[in-house]
Amino acid sequence: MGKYTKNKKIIITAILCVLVVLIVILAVIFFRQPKQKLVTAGQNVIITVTASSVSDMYGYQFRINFDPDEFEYAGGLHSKIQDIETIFANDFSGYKLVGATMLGDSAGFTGTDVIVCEMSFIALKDGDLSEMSLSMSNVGVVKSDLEYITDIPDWSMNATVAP
Amino acid sequence: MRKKPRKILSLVLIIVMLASLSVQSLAAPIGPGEEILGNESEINLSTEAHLVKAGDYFTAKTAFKEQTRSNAVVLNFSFDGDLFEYANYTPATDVTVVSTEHGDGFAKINLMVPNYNAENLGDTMLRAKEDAKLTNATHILNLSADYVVKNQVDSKEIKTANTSTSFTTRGDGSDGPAVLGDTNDDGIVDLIDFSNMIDWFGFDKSYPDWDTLYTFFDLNNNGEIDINDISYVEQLIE
Repeated sequence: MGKYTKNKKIIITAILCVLVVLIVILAVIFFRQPKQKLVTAGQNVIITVTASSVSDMYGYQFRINFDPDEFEYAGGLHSKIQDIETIFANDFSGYKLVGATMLGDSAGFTGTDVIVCEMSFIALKDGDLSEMSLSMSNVGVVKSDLEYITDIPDWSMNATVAP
Repeated sequence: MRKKPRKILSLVLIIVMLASLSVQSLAAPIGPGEEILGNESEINLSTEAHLVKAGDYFTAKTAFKEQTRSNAVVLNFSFDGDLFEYANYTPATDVTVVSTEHGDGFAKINLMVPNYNAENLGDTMLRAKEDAKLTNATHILNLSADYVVKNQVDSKEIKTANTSTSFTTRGDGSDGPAVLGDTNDDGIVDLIDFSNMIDWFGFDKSYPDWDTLYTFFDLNNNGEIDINDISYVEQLIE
C-alpha cells in the first residue's frame, strides 16, 4: 500500500510539473505576441505623439501619413505642451502636416518623455490598427534661436481606439 | 504579282519617313521664349541668392559642366543695371583674371586657364544698389561665354555658350528697408502675415505658382514653407 501511494504521489507531482511548465510556456507565447488593436468603421482613433526628449524646442512639424480609404481626419488637434499652444495642420495627398510654434521671443521647451500633441481620425474600414496605414514621418524641430533640425528620429506616435 | 513587294516596300518607307518626322517634332518642341538655335549650354551659372534686399551682395558661380580643353574664356554677364551692379570676380583655383570691364547692366571678365584644363571658373559678386526700389520679384542674370577649345587634332575653335540663372529680391518698391516676413507688403510683420504663412504651410517648390509669390514665404530658402519660416515670423510679430 505504502509503495503504491508513493508512486501515485510521484505521478501526480510529475503531472503537476508538466502542467505548470505548459502554463508558463503558453503565458510567454501569449504575452510575446503583439496585441491586436481592432477597430471598426466609424470608430474614432486617437493619435498621441510623443518624444523621448526635446531641448529648447520653439516649434515642431511632422507628417501623419494615412490612406484616405482607411481613415479620415476628425480634428481634435491640440498641443499637450503648455508653452507651445499655437498648433495647426494642412492637408496634403496622403498625409496631414502638423505644425506648432511658441509665440514671441521666449526660450524653448525642454523635457523628457514628452507627450507632444493629440488628434483624432475616424476609421473608414474595419481592421487591425497595427496593420493599417497610420504612421508618422518627417519630424522637424525649430530651436529658440531658429536653428532648424530635420528628420528627428526619437519621436513616435501611438494609435488607440477611442472608448 | 511581282509589283506587290514593291508596293509594300514603298508603303513601309513612307511609314518610316512619317514616323521619323513625328519623332523629330516630338523630341524638340519649341515653346514661346525658348532659344531655337544652338545646343544645350556647356556652362553652368548658378546662384543661391534669395530674398535679396537693397544693399545686399550676392554671388553666382560659373563652371563648365565637365572638364573642357580650354585656356581662354570670356564671360559676358548682363543684368538689370537699374537695380544691380557688378562688385567683383573671385576666380577658381589656378584660374587667372586677365581683365575686367563693367558698366551699367554688364560685366565682362577675361579669364586664363592653365593646361587646357577648364572646369570651375569662379564666382561673380553682384550687389543690389543701395537705392534700388526692389519688389518681391524674380530676376535673371544672363551669361554669354566665349571660349577657345582645342579639339582632338589640336586645332582650335571659338565656342559660345549662353545660359542664365534666377534669383529673388524682396522689397515694397520704395527705397526704404524691406521687412523679411512681411508677406502682404504693409511694412509690418503682424498676425496677418502669420495667418498667411499658415495658409501656405507645407507647400514646396513643386507648387506651380511657387516662383511668382510663395517663394517669398520661404524665408530659409530650403524650397518649402515650413515651421522654421513660421517660427521666424512668429518671433517678429509686433
